[in-house]
Amino acid sequence: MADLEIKNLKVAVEDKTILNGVNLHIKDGEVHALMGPNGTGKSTLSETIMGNPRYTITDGQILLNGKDITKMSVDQRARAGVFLAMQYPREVAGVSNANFIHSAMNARSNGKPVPVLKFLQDLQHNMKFLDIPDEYADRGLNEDFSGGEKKRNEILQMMMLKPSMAILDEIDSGLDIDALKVVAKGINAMRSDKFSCLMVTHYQRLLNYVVPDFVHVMVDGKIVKDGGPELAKELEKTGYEGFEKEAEKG
Amino acid sequence: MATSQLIDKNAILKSSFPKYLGIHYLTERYEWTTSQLAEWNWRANNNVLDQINKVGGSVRRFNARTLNSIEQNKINTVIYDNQQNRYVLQHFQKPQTGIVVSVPDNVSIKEPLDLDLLLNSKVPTAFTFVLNLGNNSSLKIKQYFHISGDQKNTSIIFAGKQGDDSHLKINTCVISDHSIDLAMFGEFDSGNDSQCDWSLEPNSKGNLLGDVSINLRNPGSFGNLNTLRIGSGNDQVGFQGAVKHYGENTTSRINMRGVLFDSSKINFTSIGQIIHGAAGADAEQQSRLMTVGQHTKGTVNPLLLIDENDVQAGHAASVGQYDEDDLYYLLSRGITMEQAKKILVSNFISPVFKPLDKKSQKLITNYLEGSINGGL
Repeated sequence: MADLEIKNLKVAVEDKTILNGVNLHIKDGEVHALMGPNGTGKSTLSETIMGNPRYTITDGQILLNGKDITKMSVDQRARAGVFLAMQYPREVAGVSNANFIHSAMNARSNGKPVPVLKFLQDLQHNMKFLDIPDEYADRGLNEDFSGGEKKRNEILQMMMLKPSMAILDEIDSGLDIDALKVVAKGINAMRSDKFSCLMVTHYQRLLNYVVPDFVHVMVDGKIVKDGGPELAKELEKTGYEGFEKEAEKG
Repeated sequence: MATSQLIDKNAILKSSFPKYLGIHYLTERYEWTTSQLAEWNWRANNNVLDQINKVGGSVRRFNARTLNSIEQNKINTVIYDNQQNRYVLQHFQKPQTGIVVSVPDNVSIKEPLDLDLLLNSKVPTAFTFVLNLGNNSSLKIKQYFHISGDQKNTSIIFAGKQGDDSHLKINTCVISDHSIDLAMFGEFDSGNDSQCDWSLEPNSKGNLLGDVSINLRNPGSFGNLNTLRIGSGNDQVGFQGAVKHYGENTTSRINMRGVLFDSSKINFTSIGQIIHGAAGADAEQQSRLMTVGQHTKGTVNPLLLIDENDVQAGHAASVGQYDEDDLYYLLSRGITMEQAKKILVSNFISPVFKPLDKKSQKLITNYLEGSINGGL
């Protein structure tokens, strides 16, 4: 289970304020979508929850199941259940995809190693589910993967690591429609009362396949509107212009 | 001509301690004398020894008196090529010992020669490895130097000669159970259209001074030189690796990688040298250091020395920590900082580590684990 509550979060990068007091509450089993124009702070919020050292919290709290995680290191947050599917996954060719995922699972299993056979069975099953060819298990981590393959591999890692709170930062960018459907299938397979999710996206398209419980619009480092799935559809028609003008007046 | 006749007192006086661009070292550290012959043993896989013996070749221990003229000539070439290098001259003034691997023409030995060299001497060892590979022959050697005993200094010199159309793949892995000052010099000379693929992992504990080369003396030959060194503690490492192109249409690749922990220092110099007349030569090199420890110091000097117009050449070099974004990505999956750094170190060394045989990989991994655990 995961209950993520963000209170009045203010974040700066190199003295430039990006988030101006974000409030957001994601409860157990809920899927939220965070939408908004470019450069508005969506990725900053995602990275700050994960603990990317580039971002400095100047005010506010991030509570995971009631506990402030802002002082925790990146790996501690991950072991506490937070997962970030990154916009630009890194390539680390010296470790194989399978070994990396297995190491990550072992790191999260409180000193009890995950049995290799069970791991391989799960890996094979999930790779098949996501239409990832077998040989990708032995390739270097994201090594020479295409943009779409990297995104798929992020979802594979999520399915294997089973986080309680997943943040998906533009998981739909650069995907063709078939790949988008596969990625959506992966996210939907995770949905349960033990899995909460924040999907960051520009477009309504992903939300046709993964229907969120709540939609938030972020402009200029603040969440300016909350609603249900219908809000995303409305945005598709009207765009963000109205919200941006509001923010400028604001 | 015997070695002693080549090196008289004048020669020693005329020589000096070698100077290398960007490599600083204490000259006295690698200078030593002894009148005692060092103790050492060797073993190899019998089936390959049998194969080599059956075709008229040999793998044998030598002292100065038991070398034949070809082998002695090879050593003399190294001495001629290093007339200025006092360490090389002094090496051959000491009681001579080492091993000769000799394979005649037209022999292809498929299985690698697994050669363990156990230098377990109380006194410093001056060890020479002599290789003579015949025309149209091929040989793979996996060579492991295990240095033990109380010796504080070890000097290893390679003197190799390949015939035309021959293929040599040699891996030299050096480990020690205590801290030593290791000096390593020498060269492999190619034949026409021959190939030399040399991986070198001098990972004895302590300091290292090294200068090795593959000499592409004849047309069409190919040389590949890979080096891997892990620095830990207060190790001071200066290592120069060169491939020298004398023949036309020769090709070389150099890849040197080093990882620095604790307060270690590593200077790498890689040289792709193309002599006037070596038209059509192609030289590529990479030289990279990863500085993991807070107080390490690494420098790399990639050199291309080119005296011919019609050539292709390129180099790449870097010194730096792991990539912060890579580290963050690994941590974001719950892997600990220590484990993540291990992954980034193995990622960094993989281009020179992956091609190694299992035994070398294991020896290096063990050494690396010890350095990482002390150095993170």
